[in-house]
Amino acid sequence: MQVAEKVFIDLIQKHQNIIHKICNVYENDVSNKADLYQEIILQAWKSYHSFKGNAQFSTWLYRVALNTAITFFKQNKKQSFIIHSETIPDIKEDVSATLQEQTQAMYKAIAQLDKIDKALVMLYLDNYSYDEIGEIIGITANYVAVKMIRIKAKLKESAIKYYNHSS
Amino acid sequence: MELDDFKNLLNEKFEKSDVELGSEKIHLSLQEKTNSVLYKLKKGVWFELTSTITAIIIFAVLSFLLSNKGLRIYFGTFALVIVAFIPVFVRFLRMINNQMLYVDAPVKENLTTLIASIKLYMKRYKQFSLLLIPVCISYAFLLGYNTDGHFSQSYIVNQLTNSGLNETVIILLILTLISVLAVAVHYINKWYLNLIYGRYLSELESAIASLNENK
Repeated sequence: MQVAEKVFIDLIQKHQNIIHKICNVYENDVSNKADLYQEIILQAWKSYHSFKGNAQFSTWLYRVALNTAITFFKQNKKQSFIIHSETIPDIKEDVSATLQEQTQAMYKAIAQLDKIDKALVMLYLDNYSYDEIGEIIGITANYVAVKMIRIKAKLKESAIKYYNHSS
Repeated sequence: MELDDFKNLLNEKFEKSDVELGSEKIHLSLQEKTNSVLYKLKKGVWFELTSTITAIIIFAVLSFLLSNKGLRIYFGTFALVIVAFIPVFVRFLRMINNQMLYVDAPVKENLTTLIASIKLYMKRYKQFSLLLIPVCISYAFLLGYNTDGHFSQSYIVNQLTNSGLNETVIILLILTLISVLAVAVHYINKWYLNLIYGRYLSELESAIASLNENK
């Protein structure tokens, strides 16, 4: 194994949570999720030489992973809108059943978003500022703010709908 | 629940997955083949390139083996004409390779370049196929006038005239045949490209539309 490859693998291992999160949000089907995971690692490796180190590796990896997930397309396989149990991460054991249900409703609502809105939500949940999100997505911070207002309203509405439906 | 409440609730468990990969598995993943649309596009261009080279070889062989002089000239010339396609395919392959290195660009930029590459490929594919029709037909007519036997213009026209059809009907028949052929090639290309890239392209276009700030 070459030095560059070893460094890359270490970095991926350290930041593979980013890839897991993106795969969980963008793909419901288990095999598609594995394919997307594979694809993100490959794309990251292929463009790793362009990583100059002037940005954080996590930000760079987010860009590669989002670009791969947004353009990832499996033909002849209809996207399922059913959230499988394994895609829903565990929440703290001490949260109430109601909160668990509300959280699951929010996951379902996020799963219904389009690919770009999912990307914005992912970055927002990971505490990126609007400026940083704008840089990763390629839009202005103001537009990120506008989109986030719309997304939050949409998610609130959908989460309530899913919660009422489940309870 | 609102998105901000949800954000506050998340802990590191959100980030964990039951498929935590070790360094060996990641190393093996790097040896796999990519499945991206650019890779498929690249495969498509490689297929076109190999088909072109195969056609050149077949046409060149036919231009030596066929007994009919007209057909020999026809295939020989076409072998030379489609040689011109090779640099175009090579340029496409270079363009795709450059695009493949673009995966760490901002999302909007990456989408814009990707859509442009796919559209350019589709446009050129259609242009090439349609361009060959008038060339083929004109050349067939030209050679038909300058050859003897079953492929000569006079033989075919005689056959048609003897069947009781008048000149106007024969011209109309030929024109209809050419039009039907051109329209068929156009729609077959459209269907083929749409089958491969259509749904994907419209999905990418809707993604970029949602990034348009003037919306």
